[in-house]
Amino acid sequence: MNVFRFELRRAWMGAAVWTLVLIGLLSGLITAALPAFLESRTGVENMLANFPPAFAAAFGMQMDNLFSFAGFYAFGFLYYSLFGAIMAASIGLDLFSREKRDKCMDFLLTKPRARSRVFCEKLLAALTLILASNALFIAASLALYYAYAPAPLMPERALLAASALLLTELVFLAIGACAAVFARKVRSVSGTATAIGFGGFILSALHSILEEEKLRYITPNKYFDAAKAFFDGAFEANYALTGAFLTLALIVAAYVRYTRADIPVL
Amino acid sequence: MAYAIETKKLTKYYGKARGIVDVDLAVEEGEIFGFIGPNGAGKSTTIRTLLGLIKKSGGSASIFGMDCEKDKVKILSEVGYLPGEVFYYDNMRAVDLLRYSASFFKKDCTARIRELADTLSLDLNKKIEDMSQGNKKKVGIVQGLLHAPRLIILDEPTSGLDPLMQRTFFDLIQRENERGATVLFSSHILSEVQRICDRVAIIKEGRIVDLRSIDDLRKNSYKKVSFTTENPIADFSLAGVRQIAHDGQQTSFLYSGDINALLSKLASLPLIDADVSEPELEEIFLHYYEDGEAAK
Repeated sequence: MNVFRFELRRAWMGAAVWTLVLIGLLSGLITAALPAFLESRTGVENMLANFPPAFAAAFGMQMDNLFSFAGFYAFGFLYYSLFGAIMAASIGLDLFSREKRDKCMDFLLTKPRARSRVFCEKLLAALTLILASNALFIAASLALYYAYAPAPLMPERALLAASALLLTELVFLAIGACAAVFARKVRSVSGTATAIGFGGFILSALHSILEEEKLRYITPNKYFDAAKAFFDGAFEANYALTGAFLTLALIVAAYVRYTRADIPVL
Repeated sequence: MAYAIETKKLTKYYGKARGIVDVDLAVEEGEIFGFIGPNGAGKSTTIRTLLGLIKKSGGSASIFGMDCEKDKVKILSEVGYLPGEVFYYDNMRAVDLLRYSASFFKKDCTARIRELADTLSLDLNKKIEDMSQGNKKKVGIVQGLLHAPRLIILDEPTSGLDPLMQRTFFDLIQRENERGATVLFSSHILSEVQRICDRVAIIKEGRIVDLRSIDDLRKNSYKKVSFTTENPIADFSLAGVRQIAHDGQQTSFLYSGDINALLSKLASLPLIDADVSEPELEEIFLHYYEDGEAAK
């Protein structure tokens, strides 16, 4: 497991910073913005009424449920999932393109370790980072739910809604890993991960504006909808399955490429 | 008998582009085997196929009797590899990289890392990105040898090393060979190969064009001769001269034969200047082209 340990040591700091940003954003929105929204509901409603409907939809401000803990959490989820997507894509890109970026594929792949095992150890390290980050995010979400949500409480729904971020991040981890393995060169992990994350965000906004259901099948940020989890107690099966299938397909494609590709001379 | 390295009709195409074609090699255990050819001839392709970095298109390749693709992991535990250009992870000290490298082998390499670093005067606590190209190469040498491999594969290993360090490096390789290691030494510099190898295979345009002992190569080695005379010389004949060219007062050719005969002949001329040197590899390879054309 030396590759696993090596990757964890190299990548944990970045994941820790992203986790702090995510929990900071979550805490800020729930502890500061939500009470302010609820206190000045009429003013906010008037303000939102003046927004173009497409604009409000694109940024997740749906008037019908914005003034509840669940609705506000779902509104915030658009942004948690943007940041989470960038973090997960960044982890996938970083771990799976490390040797390509540093031009040391020869170093790693001439060691007595099967490429399949190297891939699995890297994947395990990436999953460990994402699971650890999400464990903290879910714990923070539940703590805030208990502190700020009105009775009756439904913690299982809060747990499911918070876990939407984990599932969304897994999709983006697979996208990042696949991009890293198939790209000839990865110049900037942060730049590429940001582009992937914002790509997902733009698709999500387009879906909200156009309300075209087919578009949702190619919108990774909306495969696991926190609002549905909160209000219906479940994700929509067709989109959740699409997300699961896409994640699996991307990981398998990355695995096949990583284990079989020729390593060219630098 | 199992060879340290054995390839039979080993072939690699990159799409339609030729890599290597029908390469037959048999490197015996314990020898230092030279692998020489100009850039693009197929040396690195052969080595990368042996190491499992690229997949062959045809033929077979084995190391210590094990198949290079099926038994890659077992083979790599016995192999140390030093590429021509060395690159390592950013923001890492040499000692950390070498510990990581050692962690792939089921043995304690700590003492050997120290010993090799001392031999090469390498500061292990320095960050690799702050090192000169020569020192990075030393890190590469240590990481290639730290597990005392049975087979050492060197692909253009001396680039970036100063002459003094090259001598230390060759001494180190010879010591490894005395310990029992087999060495495959790839280079495009003939003198390097002549310095330490027992036998040499010559590769040109993806095919092995010759395989001979270093003694044989020395006996048949060419010198590049050029001289300038007061007046142009129309005729210069001596057994062993080939590729003669006249350019005004200057005459140049490749010579293979008794050096005393050459010097006597030159001494009889009204010389202004004379130069006897080792020919470029390309010039030596013209000989193989000529022989190939003649055979047709």
